[in-house]
Amino acid sequence: MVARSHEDRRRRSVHRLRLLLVAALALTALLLAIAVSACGGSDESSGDKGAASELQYSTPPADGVVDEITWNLGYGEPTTVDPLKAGDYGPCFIASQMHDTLVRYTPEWELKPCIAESWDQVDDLTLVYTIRQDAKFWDGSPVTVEDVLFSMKRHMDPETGSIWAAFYSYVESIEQTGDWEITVKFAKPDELFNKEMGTVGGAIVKKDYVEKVGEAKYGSGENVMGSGPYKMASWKPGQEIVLEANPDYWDPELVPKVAKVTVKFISDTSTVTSAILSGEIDGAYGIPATNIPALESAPGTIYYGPSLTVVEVVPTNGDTPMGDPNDPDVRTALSMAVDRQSIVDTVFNGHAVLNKTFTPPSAWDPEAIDVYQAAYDEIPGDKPDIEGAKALLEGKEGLDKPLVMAMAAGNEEELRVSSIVQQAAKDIGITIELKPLNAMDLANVFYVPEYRKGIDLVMTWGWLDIPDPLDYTSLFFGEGALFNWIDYRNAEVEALLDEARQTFDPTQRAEKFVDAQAIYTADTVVVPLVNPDESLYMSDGISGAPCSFAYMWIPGLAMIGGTE
Amino acid sequence: MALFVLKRVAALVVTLLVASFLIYGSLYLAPGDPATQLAGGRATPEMLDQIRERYQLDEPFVTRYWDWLTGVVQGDLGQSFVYRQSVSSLLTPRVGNTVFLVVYAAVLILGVGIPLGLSSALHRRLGSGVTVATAIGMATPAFVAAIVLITIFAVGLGWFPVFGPGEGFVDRLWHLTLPALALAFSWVAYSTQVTKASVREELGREHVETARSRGIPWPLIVRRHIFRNALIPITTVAGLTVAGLIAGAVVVEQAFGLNGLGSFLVQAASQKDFAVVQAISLLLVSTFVIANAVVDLLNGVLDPRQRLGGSS
Repeated sequence: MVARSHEDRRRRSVHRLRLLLVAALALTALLLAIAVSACGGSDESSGDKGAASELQYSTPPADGVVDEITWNLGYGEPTTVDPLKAGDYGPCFIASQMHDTLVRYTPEWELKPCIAESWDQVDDLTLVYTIRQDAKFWDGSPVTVEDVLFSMKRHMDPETGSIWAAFYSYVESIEQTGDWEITVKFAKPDELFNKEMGTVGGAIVKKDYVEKVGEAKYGSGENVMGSGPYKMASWKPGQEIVLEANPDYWDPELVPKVAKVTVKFISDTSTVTSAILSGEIDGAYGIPATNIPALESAPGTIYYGPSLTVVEVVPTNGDTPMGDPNDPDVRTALSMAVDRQSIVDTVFNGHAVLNKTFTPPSAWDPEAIDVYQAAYDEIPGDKPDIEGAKALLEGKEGLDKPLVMAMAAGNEEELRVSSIVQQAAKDIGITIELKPLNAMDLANVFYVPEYRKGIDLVMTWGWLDIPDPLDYTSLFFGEGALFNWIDYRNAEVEALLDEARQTFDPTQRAEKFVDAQAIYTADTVVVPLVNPDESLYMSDGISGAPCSFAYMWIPGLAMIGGTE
Repeated sequence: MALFVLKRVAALVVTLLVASFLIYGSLYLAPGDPATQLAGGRATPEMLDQIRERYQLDEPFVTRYWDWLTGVVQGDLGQSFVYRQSVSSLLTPRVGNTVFLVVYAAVLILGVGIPLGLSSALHRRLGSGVTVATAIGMATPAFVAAIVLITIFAVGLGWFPVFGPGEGFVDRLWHLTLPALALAFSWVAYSTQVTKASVREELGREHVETARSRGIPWPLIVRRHIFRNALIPITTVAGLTVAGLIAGAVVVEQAFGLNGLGSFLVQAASQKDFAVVQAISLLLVSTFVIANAVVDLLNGVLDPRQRLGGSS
């Protein structure tokens, strides 16, 4: 009797346990379902929330005064706000809100006066800047010729370790030649120089202030003194940078309409999405394409603009069939096999332009567009050609070994692009293994030869600083050029590009450039993929921010105003 | 007591010294050249050398460790080479956030977990429901809890903010409620189960039977004979849980955009920012050692056989 009731109880408890398990599983499944739907990625909602179908350089202007907005930097906290040390999105963006540049771009990439109220290319080797007299630093002191000289020469001093030193590589001297006049003398003509002075490479800092805090400390924490439309109010490490309007700004067009901008640095994309949905973030650039469907119901608008971002695959090892500098066939075959349009459509939902060479059409000089276009049309790559690629590989040896492609870890877009490249390689019988690397390891691969061992290809997301193809080609050609890892040398290409950089006439320059382009694209020095559009989110109630990549170099926050 | 404290302090110092050496050494040996991160998009080899020299990244291990150690002894935690700022100025705002988050979560864990465990052990009917809940709780990773909480309570209902640590006590409490819940979620379940199991075990003990047969009132038995004995394993688990929460907070800090120590440690380690990694790791090690000492102290109070001094 006792034994039986004991048995019953055991059975009952087993039964109960099973019920519990089922209930627990069901609830877990429910929680997971909620979680997954929260992550976004539901296929049906790929329509774009309020997005204009055309690319636009800027957003509708707005004049209303606004007390406060919150902006997010999706690439994480700036490590500095010193223009000289700023090489990444966040540092450049913040440095540009706080500093004036010698010349300034409009969102449409037109060069306008800024700290230089005018400039004059006197001859091929002489450039004269006239400095404006009414600009003031935040502390009220005037921006002097001495400050401008100091700010420029800083980049030429090897001690400072300027990231932008290459901009000044053709410069012979910079001197004061009048009360408010500066003359730049060049060793070789340089059509890029004045254009590059519109980036942080031409930003003006206050000499006394930099000397007071020290070169190394300038731009870290709150140690910054610019003359730009926004002042540094506070920087709480890890949390936020607060920018405060500079009401005395010299350019009435850019006196801020938003009194206070709180800049956050949330890099977790699902947190950014939630914060936009709940209205806690009013604006951000660089919304990942993979998160855009989830922003369907966001209280604002997503804009798309022309970008100078390029995604490409760069060979690293000249001793392999893929990297052989003298035999491009394997690279060319891979380039032929890639379906660029499918990257545009599936990864970027159409918000990208396919790219047949590694400088995008958005970088062409508008004055010589026909020359660039005609040459670009000659380049193959609009559609994949698997058969042609296979034919090219006929009889090639050493392709059975898998190739390793390094890429940035934790980036959904990059992973998807990589798998499309991987598939293209597979279609022509080449195995590619992906090797995701964190930011530091990827930077190591870029700069330190020993970290490129065991890696055959690197997927890079680079950008051109300014819309001029020559700004980017200098990184690929010549001995020891940053991306010339396979040591590709072609005297004709190098000569043509060098001549082009010394040519001020846009059409003549374009002609030289496209001749070089025809040679190096035939040699497939890199496998170009796409040029993703710039994306910008702004909440309802504000508008006016630039939407082209020029946003990196101009105080775009000062263009924002309220729409009511 | 004085001897106990002295011994523990000595142990702490030795542990910190050994840990700091090991962490610094392993970071030094790990592959990766941190200088490249400061180089921007177009550096030359000369510029890289310049950076290495400026931030003393090219010095041998012993020199660097010794420089760091002598600095720390003098109260200088060093400079973050990534942010070019002193480590203390970078950590100060973060320590407050993490401490607030961890204490908040600990209060939830102990305040909910122990009573829940106790009552489910004493009342069998309640026990089954609690078992289901804890099974789900233990199976839910913090990042899933975070996403669910954000979706429902921040985006959906708008009761709480999505991100940020807030300022001032009340605002912080409001900002950190969802993060603390997400962090506490699986630990509540764990502490409930530990409490339940250890109370159950005490329930079946002879002295409890004896006390019952003698007619001692049940609440008194529960308080004196069951709960007090059951508290020993509970305290041990609770102490380690709370110390472990700091490290466990990484995921939650990331998901809620909180600038805390955990997420900063992960970031600094991936950037090989030596001084920051050292400072945070030593804080974590200290917390573990101190939490352990407190657990020992409490267990001594609860159980006379474990009195301090360890003569038995």
